[in-house]
Amino acid sequence: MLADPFELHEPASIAEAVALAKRYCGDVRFLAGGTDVLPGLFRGLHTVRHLIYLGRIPELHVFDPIRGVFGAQTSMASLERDPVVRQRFVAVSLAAHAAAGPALRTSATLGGNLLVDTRCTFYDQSRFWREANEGCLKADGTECRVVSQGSRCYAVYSGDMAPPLLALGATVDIEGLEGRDSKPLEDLYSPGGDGRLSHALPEGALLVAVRLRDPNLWSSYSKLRARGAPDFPEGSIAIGIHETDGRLDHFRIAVGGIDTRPLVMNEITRPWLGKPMSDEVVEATVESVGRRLHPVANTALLTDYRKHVVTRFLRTDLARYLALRSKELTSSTPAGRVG
Amino acid sequence: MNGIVGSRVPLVDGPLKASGSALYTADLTLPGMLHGAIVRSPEAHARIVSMELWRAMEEPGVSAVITGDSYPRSFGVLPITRDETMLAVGKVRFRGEGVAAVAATSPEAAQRAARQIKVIYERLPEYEDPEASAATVTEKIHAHSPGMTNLQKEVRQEFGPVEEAFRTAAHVVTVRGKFPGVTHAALEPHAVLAHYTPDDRLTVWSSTQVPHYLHRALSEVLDIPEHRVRVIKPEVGGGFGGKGDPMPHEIVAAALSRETGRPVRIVLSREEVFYLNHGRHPTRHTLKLAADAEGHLMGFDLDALIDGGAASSFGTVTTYYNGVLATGPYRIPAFRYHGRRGYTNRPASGAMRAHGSVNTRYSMEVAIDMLAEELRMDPMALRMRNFLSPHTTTINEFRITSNSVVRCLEASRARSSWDTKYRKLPVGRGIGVACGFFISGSNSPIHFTPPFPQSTVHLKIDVDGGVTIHSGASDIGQGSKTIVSQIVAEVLGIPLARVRVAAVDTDSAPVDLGSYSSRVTFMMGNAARCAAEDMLRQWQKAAEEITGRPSAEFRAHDGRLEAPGNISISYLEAVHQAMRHHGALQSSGAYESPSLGGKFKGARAGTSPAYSFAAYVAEVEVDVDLGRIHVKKVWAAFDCGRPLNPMLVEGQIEGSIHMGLGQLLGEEMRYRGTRLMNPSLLEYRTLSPVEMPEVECLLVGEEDPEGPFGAKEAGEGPLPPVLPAVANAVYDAVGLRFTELPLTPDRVWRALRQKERGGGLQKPPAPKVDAR
Ligand SMILES: Cc1cc2nc3c(=O)[nH]c(=O)nc-3n(C[C@H](O)[C@H](O)[C@H](O)COP(=O)(O)OP(=O)(O)OC[C@H]3O[C@@H](n4cnc5c(N)ncnc54)[C@H](O)[C@@H]3O)c2cc1C
Ligand code: SF4
Repeated sequence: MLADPFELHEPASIAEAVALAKRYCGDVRFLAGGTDVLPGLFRGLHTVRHLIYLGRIPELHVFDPIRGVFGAQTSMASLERDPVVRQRFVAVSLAAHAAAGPALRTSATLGGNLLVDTRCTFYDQSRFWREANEGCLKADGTECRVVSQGSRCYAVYSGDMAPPLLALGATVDIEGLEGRDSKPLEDLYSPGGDGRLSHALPEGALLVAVRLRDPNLWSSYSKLRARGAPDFPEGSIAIGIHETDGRLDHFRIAVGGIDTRPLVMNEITRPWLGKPMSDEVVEATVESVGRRLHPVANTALLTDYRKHVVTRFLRTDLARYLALRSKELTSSTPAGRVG
Repeated sequence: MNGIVGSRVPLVDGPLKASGSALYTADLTLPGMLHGAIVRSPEAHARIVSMELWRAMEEPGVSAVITGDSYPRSFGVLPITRDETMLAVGKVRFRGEGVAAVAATSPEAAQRAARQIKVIYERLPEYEDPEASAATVTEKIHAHSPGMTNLQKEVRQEFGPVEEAFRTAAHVVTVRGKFPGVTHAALEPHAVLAHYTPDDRLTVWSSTQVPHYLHRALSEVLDIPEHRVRVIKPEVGGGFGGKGDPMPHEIVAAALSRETGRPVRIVLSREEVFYLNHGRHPTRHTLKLAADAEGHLMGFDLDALIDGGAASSFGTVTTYYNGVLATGPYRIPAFRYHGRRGYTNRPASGAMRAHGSVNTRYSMEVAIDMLAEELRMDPMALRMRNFLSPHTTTINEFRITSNSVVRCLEASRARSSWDTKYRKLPVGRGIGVACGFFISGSNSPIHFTPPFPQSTVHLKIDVDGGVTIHSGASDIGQGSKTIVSQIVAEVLGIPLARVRVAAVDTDSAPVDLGSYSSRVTFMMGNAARCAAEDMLRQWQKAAEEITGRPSAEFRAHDGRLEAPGNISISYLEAVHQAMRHHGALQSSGAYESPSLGGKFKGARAGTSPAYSFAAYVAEVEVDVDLGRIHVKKVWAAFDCGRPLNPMLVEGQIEGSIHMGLGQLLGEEMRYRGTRLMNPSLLEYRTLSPVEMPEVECLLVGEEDPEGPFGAKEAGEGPLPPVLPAVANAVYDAVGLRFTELPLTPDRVWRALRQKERGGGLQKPPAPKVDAR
């Protein structure tokens, strides 16, 4: 498998990068670590003739865990290893550690991870394979191969970094055609509902940085994968919690690896704000979250199992929080696991 | 003894490989070289109605386009089942089969041109189930199958009073096993470089385990006399059986080179390697064991149905091996085997590490565990009661020589603290045992009529004092270069650094039947020892000429030839003296396998001059909530005879355990009908380093009387026992028997839930009878 020929551009500034993206609109991709873009190119999943390499833009390399600012080009390896990140944003560190494998993490970036393509057994294949299977909705075909008569695509959002950042309430800086904008990370993933795209970033817009404000949240990240490495999530869950005077003032849950976009469970968690975390909250939350999980059979593991494990993770992670809370250790205590 | 044999010498080619200086086939280039690409069929079973080639011919940089009609002669690793062609002729039999090939100035140009080739197919009925292949079909995959079936091979064997054994047995256990296909997943994808030159000679460099079989196939298909074909084997990045057959792309590269007069290189993509496959067969079988009230085995009955895919490959041997290799290491008085291998429209299966024996071994060892439970006996004790003794003959007339299986079992039992753990660990934790048995080389060569030696080694030494070893045996990463160097250096009493192994080149190396069936150490090792002894005699004679002392008095040691009375000359003095008569010295040694086996049909399948034995214990933890099996530790007691290099043996054991656990826990060639769903190393899940358990190797074998310096095999036998040892440990942990692989966490979780609904998880009953 070889990629079709393409031209590589190496801008030195954000302005230059956005201008290039505009010039080649419709025929261009940003190239960060390339660990997702390049396999896609080799497999003919995208056939652009221009790649804009982001590695030479200094602003994208900002790495300031004290202020909670992470440029899009931050490597997964540095998020995984940095002691300050590990201490202040536990779930971020755990998620970075759980993504892909060690070699990939040295080139893979945070920005690329947030915008990684959705995945499906029938899509992540070579051009030869897909043609022999007459394609599907997401690439060169007219029917979904997973859900018969499906009019939408169910490909799975499979990035590891989005759930913890969503649970921690991250915002993102975006450089678009109309200039710089800052918005909640979840805006990047709404409205969702169709796996043909993994995010809602307009074409040509550049993700500049991710910002995390509050370093005092308790957080966890648990991931289900077929093997210990380097597999994508088959279901993952991140939790961010903070209580002041025994009452929840931050309670967010995000699920990855199940639906076409990361699922933020605000409507489930919001009603509990102002109340103390308790067994009752855990029970009700686990049950409501479970009802929102509808995986389809387009990854390696069985769907009922994926659903079971995600709710199981949620229960054990919340229980761990409760246990720590009773010992009055409410912040920055490592939690979460990779299942 | 010079102490080189038996010591932990690092691989002689290790520094080259670790530093990236070793040259693999894909590293090789020649001036004017072209790149080949193969057009593959999107259909699994279809007639080729037409092919439009002209567009590809007109693409820039294209030098040749060929189809199966250029060289339609069929080939196959076994002369009795030649049913592969370099490219499809008339019809395609599996998705991914080559239908045309292009040679162009760059890989990109070749691929672009390949995409321009339009083929029109007429679909035929597809067969995905060997059961259907064994019944009447409407469309035959190969014309030569019997009647209107797609059967490739059927074996029936019966020894001893089977019916009576099962009628009178106190206990009968049955295992219905189901195993998907798995594949080798060697790190290096297949690659070939072929150069047909104007002097009507063909030279082919290929990543192959058996240069000799490739040599023959090239000659036959391309109709070039064997003496004008030369095969060179560069470094090989793993084979595991997947590079043992002559393969279509090797012939295609040669054909393209002949067509263009230029060198042509083809490097397969990982996906193409999956379509090439020739991996372990998907199998379903029913295995029954009968025993008396004391636990003596009385009968063994096996019915196996094997999915061969679209070609024979080694399949005839596989069909026999599924049965005959399952009897040892046990004494079985009655044995019946029925095996069928059907063609299907899937990539062909073939030989893979521990060829033909893994799936049956699994069910056999699980059956013994079940039997032990029925008898309320410790499974170690039950095994002890039924082992073959050394120097005996099996029911199917295999000659057994050295056999340390008892020591293996004792060692793994002691080291694992079995007696304090079996049925005594808390629910969720368990320990299990399984044994193994494998050939040290197939006794009957595939090709040789009239009989020639299985292996020949030549040595050469010139004025520089370095000994060059010429052998046709392939080092495919397993370390055979190191072993042959150790043997030669040991006999000649010179340092390892004075020995070098020439690259395998059929122009200069004597024939060796290659690296498969775990034959190299035993057979090439014996040949090397003879060659070195022949060389030593020349040195001793020269020493006599120099010193006047009788040659027989000289011993080779530390680079010198020494005789009693403080007489000592350097080996180089002797070499130079001997060279006065005829220049550089040469010597030769050969290994001929003995005549073995019974007189019945298929009697030679599974015969070997020696067998390895094994007894493994595995300890596991089952996460009942998540369905995950964590293998904590494996105690691997192995009888490879005398380990010539314990470090390499341990490497083989660890690698085998890694590979076996991959098959047990995750690997599966996943099909939807005839469509392979996971032809990539991300979705085809070999074991990751995270899952690899601690392994303690226990090398407890005794010297084998016929092996070189007492050695037997260690390349394949270490694999099979680990799968059932873990499965039996899982049973000990949670009381669940798994007879279908792989044990992925979701499937384990489902089974656990069912079990919980049916009354909860608990430890199986403990044995009543004492372990001994
Ligand atoms: C074997 C394997 C295993 C993997 N396992 C995992 C896993 O377990 N978990 C996981 O999350 N991922 C996994 N990945 C995917 C991938 O490695 C990671 O998601 C990685 O973080 C992507 O980052 P990148 O820099 O390589 O992205 P790239 O491939 O460079 O880019 C990904 C996408 O983001 C776009 N993009 C990148 N940066 C920007 C930006 N600043 N602004 C706008 N668009 C941008 C690109 O155009 C592209 O569409 C795996 C990949 C492989 C090959
Ligand atoms: S979910 Fe359906 S449409 Fe989407 S990638 Fe998979 S098969 Fe294609």
